[in-house]
Amino acid sequence: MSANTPPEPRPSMLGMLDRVLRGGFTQREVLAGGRIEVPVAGLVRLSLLLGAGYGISLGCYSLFGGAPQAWLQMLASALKVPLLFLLTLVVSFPSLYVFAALQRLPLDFRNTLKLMLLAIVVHLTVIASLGPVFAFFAASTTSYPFLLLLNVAVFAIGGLLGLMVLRRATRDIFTPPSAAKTTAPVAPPAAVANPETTPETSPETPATPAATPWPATVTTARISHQGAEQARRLMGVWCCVYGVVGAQMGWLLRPFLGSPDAPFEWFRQRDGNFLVAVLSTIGKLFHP
Amino acid sequence: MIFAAAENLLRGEITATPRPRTCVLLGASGCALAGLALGASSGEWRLAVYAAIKVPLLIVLTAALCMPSFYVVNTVLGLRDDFALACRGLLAAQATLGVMLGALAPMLIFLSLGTNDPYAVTLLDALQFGAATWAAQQVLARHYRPLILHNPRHRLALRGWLVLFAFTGMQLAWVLRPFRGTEGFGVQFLRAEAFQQNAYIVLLEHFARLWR
Repeated sequence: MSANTPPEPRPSMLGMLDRVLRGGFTQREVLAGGRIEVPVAGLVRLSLLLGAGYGISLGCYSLFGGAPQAWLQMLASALKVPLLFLLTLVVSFPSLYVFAALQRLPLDFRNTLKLMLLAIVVHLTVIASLGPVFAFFAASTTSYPFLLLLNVAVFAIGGLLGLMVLRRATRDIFTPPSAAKTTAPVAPPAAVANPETTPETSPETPATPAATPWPATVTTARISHQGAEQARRLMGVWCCVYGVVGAQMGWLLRPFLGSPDAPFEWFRQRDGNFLVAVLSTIGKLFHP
Repeated sequence: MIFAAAENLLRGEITATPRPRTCVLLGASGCALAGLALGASSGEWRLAVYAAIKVPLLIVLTAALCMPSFYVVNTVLGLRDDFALACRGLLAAQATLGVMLGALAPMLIFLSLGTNDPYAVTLLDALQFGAATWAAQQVLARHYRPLILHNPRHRLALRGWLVLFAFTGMQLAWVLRPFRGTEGFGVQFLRAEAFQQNAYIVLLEHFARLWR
């Protein structure tokens, strides 16, 4: 950088959040370079703040319910929500990266981490934006099972939008802009041009003339389709790994809400698992 | 002047929609009128005043609670450039809801006078709010049509808004009871158990009783 060039101003937290939500860091052209130009520390800070925001609205249940150590529960929830996301990432990231590398995701370790953090920030922003709705229900409802299920629903909505952003980004990474925007005719791959190795040369199907180049649209469609398929496979594996670890991490870190019948505790005894707990909570709604 | 604005809101095209301040005024006056009619049916003037405050409050607070997530969802879906237009559509729809509630208020009073059955009265209230919601949907659809044509993701954002608005609004309406007043209960702004009950659990219990 020359001495005359003024340094680029550091974006504010809100500016960065706005750019994350608008997909400014995950545009196809940006991803094509294999680099996501966003500071990891900034994303972690945003995650901590947004998670704490939603954690406070979770703590409102204890506060409005008049629990003896409501402020402590609020503090615990504000700490645990961001921790839930970040610890899940710490535990699952090595395997997520290995799967990404196996699928030939053209991002290195650091940039894959940034991509994950971007999805987490979107997830946390959505749940933080639903925080006022949750706090209102916490203030006007005494039913513990209802709020537990509402919390699960809020996390699920945030998760869906986070996944949507991640899916769009991975699809764009696997489909570089050169493939998406090719207009000039492209020569067919050697394997296709070779009549001995091509299924198109069988007697049932007419042979593709080797000399005729494929139209650009066919190449583009093929690369796009291949990219979408790779992205779909990778997303499937990522969802399973991250979802299982996240659900169990949430179970280990509970209580997030604080049961009105139990004294405050930072962590509960380890028993059962997330899925069994959700099913039993639905049952309790009907048979309190 | 206010009637002309209401006419423009109901009949007009998007470009003829009144200014935001006028929309707020129209919606609030209509909701207040409907609240007045609901509360007055009890014969208690204080309840009429309370309800005239609470019905506009219900709409405004519900919108305020849902707006942050609507903003985030629009941004994530890449619809931020149209956010002002989307909000204008929502405001026009809320104003229409108020205008329609206000317009139905005289009929509601008339019908309530000849009805003593509390279930029939509840049904009348439901019909009034149902009709007003339908009218609001018409205006909202008119505003959203070009947006959806421009970007089909607007449909998803709109559905999300409607679900969240209805979900939150129902609980807030439950909290803000009584609107009509019930025999045996004193005149009060909010019931003592306002923040104790959940509308959805009460509804589930009613259905469970029917099932048994």
